Amino acid sequence: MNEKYIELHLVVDRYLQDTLSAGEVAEFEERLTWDQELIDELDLAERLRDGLREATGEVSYTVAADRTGIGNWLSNLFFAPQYAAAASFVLAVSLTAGVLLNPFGAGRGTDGFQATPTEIVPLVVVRGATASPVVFSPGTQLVLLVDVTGSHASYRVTIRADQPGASPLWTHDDMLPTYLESLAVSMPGGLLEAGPYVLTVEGVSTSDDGEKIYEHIQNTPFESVPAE
Amino acid sequence: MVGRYSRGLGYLLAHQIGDHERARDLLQETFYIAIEKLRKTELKKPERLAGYLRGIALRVALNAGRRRKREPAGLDISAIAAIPHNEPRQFQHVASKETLSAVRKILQSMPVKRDRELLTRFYIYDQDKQEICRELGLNSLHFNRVLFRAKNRFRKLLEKSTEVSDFMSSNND
Repeated sequence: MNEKYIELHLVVDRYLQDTLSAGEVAEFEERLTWDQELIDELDLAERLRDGLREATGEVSYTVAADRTGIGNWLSNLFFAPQYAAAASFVLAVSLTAGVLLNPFGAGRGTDGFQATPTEIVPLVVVRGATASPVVFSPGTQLVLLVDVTGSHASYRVTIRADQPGASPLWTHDDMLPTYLESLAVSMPGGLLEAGPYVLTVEGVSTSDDGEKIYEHIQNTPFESVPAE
Repeated sequence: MVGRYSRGLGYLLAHQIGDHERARDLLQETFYIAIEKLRKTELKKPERLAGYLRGIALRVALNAGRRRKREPAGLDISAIAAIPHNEPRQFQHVASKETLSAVRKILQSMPVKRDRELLTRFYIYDQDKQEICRELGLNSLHFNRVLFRAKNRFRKLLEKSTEVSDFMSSNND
């Protein structure tokens, strides 16, 4: 029973639920006797389980308000039961930096430094329609928010032109999910010329020899459009 | 052997009998039996040591209700003494509060009600994953991801709390 199997089949949690098969129990417990990381994982799951049971026995908790309101919309859109049958398209919604990063607008701040205008663009893939444009403007900083479906500890993101044999134009390894549990891909606004591109996400894991292993997770196409 | 297998066997025993405190006693008994047996008969397949120890631990747990008197004659006291003695930590009551605090933060940081319901059904009511996915309209990947992220966030919150506790205790010394 290797790590991938344990993760994929939720073996640790099912062990605590006593829902593993006899064979799985034997393999898991044998590994448990010596695998310190697995023991840590089991300890964590047990504490989470006990904590949740105790927490739900208390007075109701309040959910922190989502500042942009887009979190719920993204989650409900992306994970709606109708997702499998929906048309696919890349939806780009441009948010100005003034809302999230600089409420007083772009430009020179009181400390004398030039604030770089930043646009935050969530990339959401829903099967169906044609790709919507993502506006790239020289002199700005663009942040693409990419929701991922893998469960890796870190990810590698690559952007290349959407044509066979295209070389990577931008790549970043060991990225961690941040805002809204998405990957924040930040780049200069003038990086990409007009045209179709593909953003590729790969999950990163480590082999027993310490080598990095990259597992393809998703391709997200988008269209770069120059600002008018 | 004791250092390598103590923690894991301790967990295994605790899971079997549902008592961490008593599992510690049974752990000593497990190692006593294993050391005695291995002195008499060499393991044919040394790579099967983990499985061998597990088997002994399970039998010890099974017999946990019976009272046995064993004479520790010829016993390697130093090996048994090397088994970590997990006294309640000074801040164990704080650690429990930290766990609860971390769990509350996780729940509060989940804006989607369905994700909170997923955790509740899976961890509190022990509902099957397939059943949860079917009833909540989720796919398997999303289910796994919610769990993974909750655990990851929980781990980070606990680590942060431990750092604060250690800092406070070192300042109070």
